[in-house]
Amino acid sequence: MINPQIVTEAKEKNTKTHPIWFKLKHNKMTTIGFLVLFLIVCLAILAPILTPYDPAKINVAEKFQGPSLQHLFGTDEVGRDILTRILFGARLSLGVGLLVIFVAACIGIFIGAVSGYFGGIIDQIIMRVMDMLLAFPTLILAMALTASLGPSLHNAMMAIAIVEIPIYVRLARSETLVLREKLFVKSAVVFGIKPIPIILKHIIPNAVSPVIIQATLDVGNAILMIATLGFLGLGAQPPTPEWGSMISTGWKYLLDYWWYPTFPGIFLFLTSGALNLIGDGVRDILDPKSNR
Amino acid sequence: MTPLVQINHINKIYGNRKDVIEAVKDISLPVYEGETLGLVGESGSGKSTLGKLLIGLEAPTSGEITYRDKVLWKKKRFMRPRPGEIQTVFQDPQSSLDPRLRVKQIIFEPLSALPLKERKEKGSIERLHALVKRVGLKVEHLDRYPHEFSGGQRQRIAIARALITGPSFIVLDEPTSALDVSVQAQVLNLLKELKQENQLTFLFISHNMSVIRYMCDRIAVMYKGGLVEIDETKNVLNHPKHDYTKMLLSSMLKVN
Amino acid sequence: MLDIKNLSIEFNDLNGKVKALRNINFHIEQGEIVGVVGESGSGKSVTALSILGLLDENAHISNGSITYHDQNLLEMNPKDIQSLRGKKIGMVFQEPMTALHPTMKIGQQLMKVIRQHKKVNKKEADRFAIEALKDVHIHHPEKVAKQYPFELSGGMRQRVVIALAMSSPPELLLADEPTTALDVTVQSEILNLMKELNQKRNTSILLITHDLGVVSQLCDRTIVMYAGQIVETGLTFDVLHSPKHPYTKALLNSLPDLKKQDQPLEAIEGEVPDLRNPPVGCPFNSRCKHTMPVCHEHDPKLEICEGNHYVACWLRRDKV
Repeated sequence: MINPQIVTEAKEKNTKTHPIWFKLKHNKMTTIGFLVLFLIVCLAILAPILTPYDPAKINVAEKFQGPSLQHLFGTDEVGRDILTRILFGARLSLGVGLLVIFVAACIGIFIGAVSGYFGGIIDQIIMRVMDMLLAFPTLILAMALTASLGPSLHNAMMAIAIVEIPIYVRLARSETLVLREKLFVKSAVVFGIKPIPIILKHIIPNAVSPVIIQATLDVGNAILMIATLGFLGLGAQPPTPEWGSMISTGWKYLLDYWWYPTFPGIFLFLTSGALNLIGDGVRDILDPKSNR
Repeated sequence: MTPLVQINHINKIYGNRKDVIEAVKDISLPVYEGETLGLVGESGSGKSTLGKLLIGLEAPTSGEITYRDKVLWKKKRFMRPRPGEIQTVFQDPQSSLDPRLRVKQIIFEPLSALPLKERKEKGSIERLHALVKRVGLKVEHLDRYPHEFSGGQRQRIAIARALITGPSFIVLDEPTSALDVSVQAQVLNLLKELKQENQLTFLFISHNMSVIRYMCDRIAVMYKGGLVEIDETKNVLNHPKHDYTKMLLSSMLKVN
Repeated sequence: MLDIKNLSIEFNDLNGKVKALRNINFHIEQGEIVGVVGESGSGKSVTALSILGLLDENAHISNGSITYHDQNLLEMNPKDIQSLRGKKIGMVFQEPMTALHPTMKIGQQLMKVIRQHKKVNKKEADRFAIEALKDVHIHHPEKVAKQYPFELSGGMRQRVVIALAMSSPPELLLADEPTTALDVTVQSEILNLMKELNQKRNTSILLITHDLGVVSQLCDRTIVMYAGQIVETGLTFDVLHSPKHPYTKALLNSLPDLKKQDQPLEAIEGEVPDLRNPPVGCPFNSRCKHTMPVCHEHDPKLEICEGNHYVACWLRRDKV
């Protein structure tokens, strides 16, 4: 009944060149973003192999040494190698940034899907709470939360995750409102499938792509926010190698020892910049609405 | 004959006090076991709303629907007879299949509402393969995604999904309206054969009089939410009583 | 009046070239209503868009010409085409809402178009607008002129679109599935209206549709398209009553209109071929009941079989 040739041909065509990669290759800025990020990730992963130094070990004898072959980016006020601390700091920043956004996105998408699917009073309550959270500037709210929970990397992560959640709730909710009307969701209702399985099986998987776009854009922000909190002394505590706190301590010595805050700053800039380029590229591809 | 479904004085009103749309107005009709009842009308006639009341997607504002003498709606609660007993095939096969699931998962989905024992029994691989072949698909199609199929094939998938639970009653809401005529013919033939083989009862909703004429034993004509005529197909076609039915028949375009 | 010769159009998509039209030849004469029927993917809409110069950017006209009164439309600059489009060639699409300005009153929209074509003052334009609405059998033209598109029903909107298209007035009206989105009772009214305008004003109409019933009601001549090619063309009566191409025959037989309930419909098995790499030979060869070896080797040309009736099929050829 069905011409098998057509179907197999169609299938081959679909797997040959995946349109997303096709388009990504043609976007220069995104490619640059990917290259930079790839480099930083490699450096972070290979950190223990690349440097002979320990990021936390104090060696007062070698403090404030300028960039040299031995210490490419110089040393800090207690003689630790700055390059080593930056590389280990990259592990922390990238890891924390990804983790925070992942957690925020997962929680946000679920709350948003529940809110949008059920509607009514549940929706009202959830959305008013989210509006309250969104009313504050994210950074101020994150600072307030960390300050009240006590300054530590853990609490900073939690605070950032909390302030990021409303964005995903809104996004997932608006997707859900569209998906709820789709016939495959209506079909599932007719089959007698309960709401939570419908949300998990149909709503969330289909709402996930705009969330991924938002998440790629937000990882850079989260890294910046972690660094900001670190800079203010609310995030990672010494001796943890963290870019923000390195810049914070280093900038007091900027005039005498320029290398100390400069190199962590450059890495922070490169990382969040690369992530933003990637995020923009991914959005252009996956979201036709913002394209033209 | 005993009615499988009995609709008694059903009303469906949308909107609040100021802006009221009466989608379905005081409709009473039986659907007999084993028949195909055609529900014909134009857009806004309320035919799709009536279908939704039967499958549990919309609650009636007043009136009563019984299925095998059991009430379907108690206030706003749908009293599902036995899961999978009433099934449906929608118009648009683009949107009725989840693009993220494989065909096998799609066809098996209705089973997940069934009790474990029945689920195992009906979800056997042999049964799945037989069903897939019966609707004109191939076993190797089971691992593919909906976007790899044409409209007609997607509608076959939707039909297989409706049959997996072994239903008695299927509401077909414009099942071929989105298809090309040559493919429509394939699907209509298939539906007719399946109805014979499985002793099904169909409620066939369509705006297309020639499809309804070909498929249905009885025809119910709806106009602006009300039921204007219901009779056996040949009577409706040859001796239409209501003016609207006459108008509908006269505006049918005949090829020859 | 309009003459299309050897027209071939390709689309570039991510996975290759889609050969949407292959060697299309037909013409429309003054005052004629020509119907183009085909299923989805047959290339009927692409044909209409190419006449209007409205093809997507990724479309590429690889061969052929579209001549309108001795002017090749494909070589004209976009500005001239646009003025031609508004003035000499009117258009009506499936979804009337897309052709109407959503926040402008019906009367204003009509007046704007009328004043583009005629040098008249506001008062006269207003009068012409009411006149135009009367011509499409709108009962209270003064009232409708003051309404917005969303206040009208689908049928009324399509009437307004026809009034807009006819106001220049055009020599050729291109109608792409004009009644597909409408109810059957409204559909026959709109078709009657189009027929009437054709007779009154001698406007030629090119009607694109998937519905053989619409064609039989309205068209003088019918062109049957399949997989980007014309497979049969002739007077509507001839094509529908004595179809020569197996595809046309099968299409007519797959309609439920005339079948008794106990007769199965004669469905055309299989699917439309993939136009990225169209099959060698006749495009219908994978679904045809009468295939011969030659069908898989060479593509049959459209050839005359009797009077004005042309068909592209090897079966015919053997008999001739």
